[in-house]
Amino acid sequence: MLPDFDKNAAYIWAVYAIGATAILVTALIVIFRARASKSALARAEAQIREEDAA
Amino acid sequence: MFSWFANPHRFLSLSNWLAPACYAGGLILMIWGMWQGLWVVPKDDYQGGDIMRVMFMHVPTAWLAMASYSALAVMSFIWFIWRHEVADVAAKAIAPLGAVWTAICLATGSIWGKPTWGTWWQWDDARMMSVLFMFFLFLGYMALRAAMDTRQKAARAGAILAMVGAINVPLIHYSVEMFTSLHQTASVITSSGPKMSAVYLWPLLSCALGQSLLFAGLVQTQMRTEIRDRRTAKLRAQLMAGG
Amino acid sequence: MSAQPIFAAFRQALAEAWAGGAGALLPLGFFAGTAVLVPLGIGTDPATLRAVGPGILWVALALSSLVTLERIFQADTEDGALDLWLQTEAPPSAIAAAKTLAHFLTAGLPLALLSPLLALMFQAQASTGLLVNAAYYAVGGLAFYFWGGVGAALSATVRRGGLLISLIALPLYVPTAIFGAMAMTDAPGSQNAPLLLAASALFALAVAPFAMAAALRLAAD
Repeated sequence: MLPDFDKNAAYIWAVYAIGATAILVTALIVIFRARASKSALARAEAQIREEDAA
Repeated sequence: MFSWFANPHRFLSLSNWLAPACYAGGLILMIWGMWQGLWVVPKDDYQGGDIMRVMFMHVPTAWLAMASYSALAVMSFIWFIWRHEVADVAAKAIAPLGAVWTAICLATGSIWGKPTWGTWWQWDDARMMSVLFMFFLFLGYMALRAAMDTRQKAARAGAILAMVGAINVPLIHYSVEMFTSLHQTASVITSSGPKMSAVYLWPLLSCALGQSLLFAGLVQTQMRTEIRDRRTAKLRAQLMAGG
Repeated sequence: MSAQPIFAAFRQALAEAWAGGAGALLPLGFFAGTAVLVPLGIGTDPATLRAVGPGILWVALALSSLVTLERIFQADTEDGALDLWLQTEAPPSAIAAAKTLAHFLTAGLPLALLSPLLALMFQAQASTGLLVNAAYYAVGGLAFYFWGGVGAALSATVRRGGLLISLIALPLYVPTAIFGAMAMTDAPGSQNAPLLLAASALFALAVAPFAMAAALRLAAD
């Protein structure tokens, strides 16, 4: 159940929404970048192995 | 002591378990602290009623804005003196995250200001102004790094700027404090306000530690990304040279 | 170690600043132009202008320092003069300081000297206080130029470095701008502001040359 705040409820929820959204979006970008770099490294390593084999 | 951490492999194996641990611990502490802050603790009428619950989100971001700039300066110093690459990787990872947290601090502080001071932006508040200038320092640092054409140059230029900024931060803070003391306006919350009671202290500490752990986890993930990117670039260069 | 390269750098920068388009007239024109735009923007009410005048002049001074400093080290990195400076026995910090000082003398100081005139246009009362204020502008301008020099040295190898200089240097201008503006008010608590203004300029003089030297070594690599 959501708590019942006095007159400033909108401000309180706005602060938590902004903080949570910003942190979440940042975390998603960080995770996305980590995944992209992992696959890029894997591709480069695979290419190196191919060249070595050839 | 720094040399022990300066080894990228050691950092990678350490952060392999430390980063997830930071995420888990940070989330638990943040959720507990915010649950306490929003649902459990009583409102403090002396601090403007329920609006003081904003503190559990805002105050940790302010602490992290300060701490992340200090960390950036320390990492820059370590890199500048000892040229440990991991320190530069850390500085590069800290800057954008620190800028995000500083921006959250400004936004939430501004929303807190509206019902308490009656205005979204209080030029007379020293803390607000100091954080704003810290935000600019972060932006300048990132812009300078981005403008340099090689990694080595970006690291050097960034380190010089971060150190110059860091020695200026106390002066900026002092001058802003003096500036704002000239036009004091009545505000409900002052730095010399009533001492915080223990009911609020533990949830606040929990939120602060939780956000710090989350921040530390994100920094480590970003550092791992950067180290991988550098390795990929090296392999690509090898491929180009070989083929 | 000899001081000869330092004087050479000073003279070269002086000549450069003087020759680069009508001497000191160019920054003066910029300074005056910026200041004159303000009444057009905010209206001509004398009381308002009197209140904002000193602050506008501080802003104009800060902006003009950024504009003049954009090329202070850039030309030297392009034509190789920087490598020559760094090979001399003189410390690079002294050379950087000499060049910055030369630019301050040709661009910053004239602005400070012109400030009483502009203050009168902003409806200030004619008094000797305006001359004192001119001295404050000169001292504050010195700090602006040295911090701006750090930004200029850091972005010496960057194309379109001017915008970068502003972003880097403006937070460093804050204490000087605050103390300078406070020195011109008679609000309670501002008695020490002139001393603090001087202290912030001394701080810039003490720290900035070393940061500039480190940045120039980087630019030369």
